[in-house]
Amino acid sequence: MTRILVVDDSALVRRVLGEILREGDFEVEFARDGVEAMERLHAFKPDVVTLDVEMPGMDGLEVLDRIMVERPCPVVMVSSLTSEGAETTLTALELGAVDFVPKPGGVLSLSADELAPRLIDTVALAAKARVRSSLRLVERLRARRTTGAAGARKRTSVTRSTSSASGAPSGLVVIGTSTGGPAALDVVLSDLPETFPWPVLVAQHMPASFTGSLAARLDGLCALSVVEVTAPTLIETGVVYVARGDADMIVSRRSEGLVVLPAPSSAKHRWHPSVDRLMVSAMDHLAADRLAGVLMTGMGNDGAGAMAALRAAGGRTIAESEASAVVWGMPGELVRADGADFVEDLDDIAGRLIQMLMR
Amino acid sequence: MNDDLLPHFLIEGRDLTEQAAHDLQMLARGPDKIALDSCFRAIHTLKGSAALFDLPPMVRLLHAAEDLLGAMRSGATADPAALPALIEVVDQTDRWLDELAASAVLKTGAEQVEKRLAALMGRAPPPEASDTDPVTTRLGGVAIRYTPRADCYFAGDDPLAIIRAVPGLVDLRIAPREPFGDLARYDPFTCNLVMEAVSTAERGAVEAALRLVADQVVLSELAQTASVETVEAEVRTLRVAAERVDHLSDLTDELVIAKGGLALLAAQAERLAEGHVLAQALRAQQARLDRLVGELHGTVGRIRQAPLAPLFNRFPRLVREVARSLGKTVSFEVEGGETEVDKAVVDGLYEPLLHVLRNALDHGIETPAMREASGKSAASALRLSARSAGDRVVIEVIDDGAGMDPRRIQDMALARGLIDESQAAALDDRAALELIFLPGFSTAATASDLSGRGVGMDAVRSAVARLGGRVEIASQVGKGSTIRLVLPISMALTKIMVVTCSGERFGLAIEGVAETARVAIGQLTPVRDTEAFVLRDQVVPLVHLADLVGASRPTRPEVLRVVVAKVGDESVGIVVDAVVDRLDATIRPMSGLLVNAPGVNGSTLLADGTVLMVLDLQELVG
Amino acid sequence: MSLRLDGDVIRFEGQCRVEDTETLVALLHKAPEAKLDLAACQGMHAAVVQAMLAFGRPVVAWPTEGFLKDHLAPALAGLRPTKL
Repeated sequence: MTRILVVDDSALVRRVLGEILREGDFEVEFARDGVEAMERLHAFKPDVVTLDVEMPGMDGLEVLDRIMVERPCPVVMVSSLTSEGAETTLTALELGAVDFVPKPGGVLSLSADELAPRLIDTVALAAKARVRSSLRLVERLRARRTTGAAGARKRTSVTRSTSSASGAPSGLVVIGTSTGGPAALDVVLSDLPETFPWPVLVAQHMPASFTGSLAARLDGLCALSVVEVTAPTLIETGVVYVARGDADMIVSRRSEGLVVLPAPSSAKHRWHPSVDRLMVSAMDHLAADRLAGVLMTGMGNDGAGAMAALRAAGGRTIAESEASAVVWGMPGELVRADGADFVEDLDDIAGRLIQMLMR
Repeated sequence: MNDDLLPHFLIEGRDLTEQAAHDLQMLARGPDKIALDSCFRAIHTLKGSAALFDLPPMVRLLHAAEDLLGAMRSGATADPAALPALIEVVDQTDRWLDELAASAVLKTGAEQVEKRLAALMGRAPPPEASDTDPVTTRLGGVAIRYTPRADCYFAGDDPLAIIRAVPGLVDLRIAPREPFGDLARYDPFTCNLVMEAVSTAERGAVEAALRLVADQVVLSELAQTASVETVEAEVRTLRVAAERVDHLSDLTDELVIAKGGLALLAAQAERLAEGHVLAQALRAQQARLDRLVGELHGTVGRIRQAPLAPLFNRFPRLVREVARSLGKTVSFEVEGGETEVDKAVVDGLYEPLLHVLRNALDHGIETPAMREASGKSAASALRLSARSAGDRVVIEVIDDGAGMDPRRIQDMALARGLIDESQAAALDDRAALELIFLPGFSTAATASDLSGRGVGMDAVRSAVARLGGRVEIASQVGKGSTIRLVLPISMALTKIMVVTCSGERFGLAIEGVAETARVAIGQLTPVRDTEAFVLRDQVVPLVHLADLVGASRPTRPEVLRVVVAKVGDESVGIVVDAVVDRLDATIRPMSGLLVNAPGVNGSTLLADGTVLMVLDLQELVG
Repeated sequence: MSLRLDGDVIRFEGQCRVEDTETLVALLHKAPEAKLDLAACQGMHAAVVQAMLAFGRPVVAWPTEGFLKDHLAPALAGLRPTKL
């Protein structure tokens, strides 16, 4: 039986999560704080840990940090969907947490009925996820550095000339990802140079309250400028456009050029922002050889159909490899559909894009 | 008291009590802000509407309930006794609505009831003077100003669909809220609209239609003045005697038939020398008439259609009361009330449905102790649902109770002398279940005072048959039962295939026909006592329509004409002499001697005045 | 596809849903002279109506569907039918 360690300071939350998980046929133990969590980690040897983000004493991020060093295993964050919660959760995802579920009981949270299937699915999936145990120290430091620094974003050695690189683009890169995506986006986007020739459009399945924080964090880490798309925006070179959560993003054309804009999420698609819908809209306005698709870690199959169609029409596509993906769902579907020109480990995706578009 | 408004109030009132009861049920499961808000709004609206009438006890009680809900919303109180008290208030309100429906006044003693329930809620009745909203004279209409939120498209709202759902809409204007500015920067998904409209419906009904966007709507009542606009508004809704609508729909049916004559004329013209041009003109004219008559028919049909909600909304309280009297715990769910069917069907269903529900509560559902003993939850689930399926509406009563044991039913039928031993031996499980439909099956000996009022399932079946429908039954011992009423939405045109067999014409609803095929005699293979042919790798058994309708088979031709029908999941080939026509027609339920004829769906009149029997393939072949 | 450009007329067909809004806006940008033919339109999302209001193009044919005919045409008072 899969063993789950539930770490939370609230007895009520422990009880709610515990009941749901036991109903789902998991073996569950509890820890009230970080110290107890570390002790149970070694004694109980859980397959998955669910971790409250906000705890007194050693907070969730510190516990996560120690788990990833001392006994790496899949960790699911239990977060409130507020903007502060988003900030911390994103840091956790970069530090190696596999996924997150909304905290029960909050104003913005799911009711118990909705939470239960979501929690069970997420935990079951996490149990099978690959943990990036050897997360490089430098990444860990970087993730720590940006924690809570939303107000005072650090622009280190990167200097950007917004004028030189910008202008009408000759092509677009579309990146789609889901579970495990924030950390993967960090790796890929931060390796792209300021002079990267094509703008990048990102569809990361996420709630609406998270994508603003995601864009702000990535902007602090990347040479390219990263923005969340909240209104029709002219597409310019040198910019990464992150789709707003709980909605879709589409490419369209106006008299002044190509634009991206948020669109109400379409019932025809199951996950949002929909990678498929974004890619199809891009293909409506650009020739296939002017487009490149990248599909990275995530459950399900969003993006595989449209990207396979792109490749069939003469566009280029990259799927993240099974070896590096936290969940090899979406990229796996793309490979199975014979839709991937290249299958690359996470660390090599940026290099492949540079080689593809900059020679 | 305004008699003219009372029927509207009764309909809306039942909707609102049902909503409130549902919300309270949700709240009983745990804190639920949405349900709490919804319940508050329902009670608030109900109070406002009740204040239009001379019903002080009801208004005061609802006012107190609203206060209590308001306090719960603000977190000022979390009294565990509040919910049961509120449920009692809602049930009492529903009872008062019954009294109003029966006699247009509340029975004496309403004040005592009010005081008791107010005390139960821990609230003293509010002072007399301030509680009722000022009631103005009858109004000319309700002016609506709806300013949707800028992000409403992202929330999944379609403001046009929302405003469209407002009853009695007469004057709609749509304008930008702010100037659109530079169109090169136009954002198609930021809502920038304001909608203004006038409705002739009750304010409560308008509020109900807009309840989900109440925060974005401003309503104001138009004083009744002699302004042109108001006068116009008054004429837009008409009350028409039901007989006149019936007459109109009869005339429409005759028009459908008369129109069919044009096809004959066209065919005759075709045979004349030089008649081709005339035939073409006739056909063009026929196509035009087809369209117009179809529209007319649809419109008349819709006039007669009404949602099931007012009927369905009468049941939750009855179910609660019956369950309480039997000491059973039931979670009753109603869905599909928005489904519309012919008014006659709505009116004719109360008794049968009530009986079926009582049966389920009385015989189907076990006591909490029995349920727990057999490993079920103490509370049983009872569901009443409706959905439309093609030109039919399917109404189901599903319980998770003890189910019906076919053997026991068979024994009871034997004991009552309804069947004899040899008949019993021939029955399979399904046929045994059907025994409950026999007249005299339910007798006083087995019936409690609830369901044993001399009405059995036979009465249910014949009531439903009178409405042109049928009753189906499914049950699993220990798991529960489903009673399914399948009824015509009525008035709708059904597509019919006309076939001949032994010189007679029969109609088959095209809905059940998968395809037609020609099968040479040589392609047939004998299968047990019948024959079959292979259609795309699938063996399709053949039956002869002549056998089904009791006619003699014609001499066997070289090539058989076969209509392939889907019966359940199976395909069955039905051998006919020829397929002669396809047409749209209104199917009327059979009446008189043929009312219970098996396998006959109904009849329709053909253009030449003859009656066409329309066969029910499911029943004939299944 | 419920919207298509046919010469200098944008034809609305069947249900014009929220997903079709950007298609319409892109067409309106692409064909600045195009007029609108709503004859075959069976239903319209508010976002589509809003785009029609914003761009104010002449309508050459109004819908025949009940609600759209009775309420939408009068509601968009500024876009009265014009003869081709």
